[in-house]
Amino acid sequence: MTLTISKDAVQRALSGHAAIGLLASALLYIICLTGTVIVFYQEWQRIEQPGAPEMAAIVPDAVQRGVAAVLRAEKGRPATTHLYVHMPVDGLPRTTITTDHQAFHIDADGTIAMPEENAWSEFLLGAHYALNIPGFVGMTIVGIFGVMILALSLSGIVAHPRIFRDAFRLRARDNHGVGLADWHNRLSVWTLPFSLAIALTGSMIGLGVVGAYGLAAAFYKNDVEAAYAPIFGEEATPDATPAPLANVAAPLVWMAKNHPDLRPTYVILHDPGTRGQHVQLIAEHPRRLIYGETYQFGPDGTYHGKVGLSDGHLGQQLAASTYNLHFGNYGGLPVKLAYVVFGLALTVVVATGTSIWLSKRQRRGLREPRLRAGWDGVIWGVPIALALTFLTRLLIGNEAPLIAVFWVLTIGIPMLAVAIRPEPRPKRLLQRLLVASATAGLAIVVGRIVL
Amino acid sequence: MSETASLVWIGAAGMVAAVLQLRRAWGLPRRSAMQNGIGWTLMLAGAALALAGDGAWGLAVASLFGMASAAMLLAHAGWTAPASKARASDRKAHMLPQPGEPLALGRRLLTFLLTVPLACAAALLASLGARAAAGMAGWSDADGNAMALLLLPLLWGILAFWLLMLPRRRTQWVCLAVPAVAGLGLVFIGGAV
Repeated sequence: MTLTISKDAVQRALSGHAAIGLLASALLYIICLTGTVIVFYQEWQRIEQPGAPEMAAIVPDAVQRGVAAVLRAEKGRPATTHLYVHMPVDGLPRTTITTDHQAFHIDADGTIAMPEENAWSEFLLGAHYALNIPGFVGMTIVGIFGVMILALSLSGIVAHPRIFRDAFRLRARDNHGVGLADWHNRLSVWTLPFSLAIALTGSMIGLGVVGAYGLAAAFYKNDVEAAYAPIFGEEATPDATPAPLANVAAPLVWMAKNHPDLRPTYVILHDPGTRGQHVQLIAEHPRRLIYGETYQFGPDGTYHGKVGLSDGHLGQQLAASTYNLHFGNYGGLPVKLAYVVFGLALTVVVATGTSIWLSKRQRRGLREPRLRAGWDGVIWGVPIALALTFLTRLLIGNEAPLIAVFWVLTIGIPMLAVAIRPEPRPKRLLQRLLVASATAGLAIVVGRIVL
Repeated sequence: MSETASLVWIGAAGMVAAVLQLRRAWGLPRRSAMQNGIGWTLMLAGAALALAGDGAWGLAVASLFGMASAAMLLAHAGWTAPASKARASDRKAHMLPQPGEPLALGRRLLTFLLTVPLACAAALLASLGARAAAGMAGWSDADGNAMALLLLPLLWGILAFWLLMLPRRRTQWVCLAVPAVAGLGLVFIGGAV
């Protein structure tokens, strides 16, 4: 088994790189583009529902009143097993209470203000997380694409022996294929740490269920929850006997008194209104990659200890760091902006990969206008589909069938390009459509703010 | 500003300096191991300082500084590059058959099966084996389980790449079988099943 960077190895790496790239290109492009847009998940929610009440902080008693009010509004529905209070944070200064059935924004005094309406943001998150496929199947598929990025990165480096030496050379004005190849190779090199981090954390999140099922089968007698418990903590034993509502204000008071430097991001009430209920408070630790530490409290608000995500086993800290590292929410707006730039760069790398392959074939005399038009339809059609889905949300409202709109357009635009408009090349037409749809969305958003 | 906080920013500055130095070194008419070494040393030192200052958070932030400065240098290179008539590489990927060659669909399908589902299975068994070995070595369940969850995609990605680099089918099967059998053996020795 010899594997030096010989000419043969370089050729095999190029062949493998092209094979994986072509096989994965369209879906990988969708995952990368939606991942770039979802960096502003919090900001999208504020754009979607600009009238929701905002506050820099909320007092613990108001949270308690809000929880009680939302649970009263649950009457007639099956008992909720979990209740989440999203606490106001810098990126999303809103208090929102979510049950298994509904979600409400809460005023600063704890009264219910309005239902939460963030269908676009949730659609976008679902598109990136699971290609909008329900259950863990979609997440697993997206996880596999993370693995493909890892394999593409490795094969790309071996396939291009001069890739580091030429790392600062960008002949952007060259039209003879050189410019396209330079964009692909330079952006790949300089976003390599970002791409590897995103791919590894993304595939860890996506394939987590597969790994957990494996761990459960091998070590925990098929109990999947038991496989996660050493990392994220155990679920308490439920007891459905009715009981007075748990004290959710006391944990917030305890946190403000004992850890004034930490910021609560979520209060989670398990099995509310039962004897088995308990409270978890997730608090953000400044200058850490972990999404937070889970502090646990009894129904009367007494502190029961923490899970250990902040200072427990290294494995706990590692697992808790994957989410922030993947989504770029560990340093406010500057880090988000950096993630958008690098995410866009990764998206361009994916898009140009297939374009390079098509251009080479064209230079060799293979005329494939339909194939080229189809790829144009993917590259420009997906952002058009995103823009039009956003427009649909703005014009029709929170109930609009966003998933259907997005996927019909995403599949339909390339098919139409292949079938009826392969020549002249549809690129310019699609670019104009994208500018028009994005401008329309922007105009509506600005209009709403101004008016 | 605390001492550890300033370490992060010194580390970030080191990363920026490293990128600038590499730009200089790679632009020299002749390759200079010393100039390259200075660049990589600066990068390592920057990473170490950021890590010492604020752990993984510091390293992530300092890395963003390095990548951002490289992006700016690239933007400058793209902006100032003159148009040329250089021809792009026409290296063939040899991924699709040439005109007249058979499609070899069976061979391609087998390559797909080896690199996707079978490599996934092998990576899963290997990561579970590593988890079993970690348990026998006295690691906590939290560390062992997190390691297994990390290793699954990492090993799969490496295996998929490695398999495509191997010219013979037999060596591909060996490459899959070794981690799978080793992992399975370790699971039976150290697992609960």
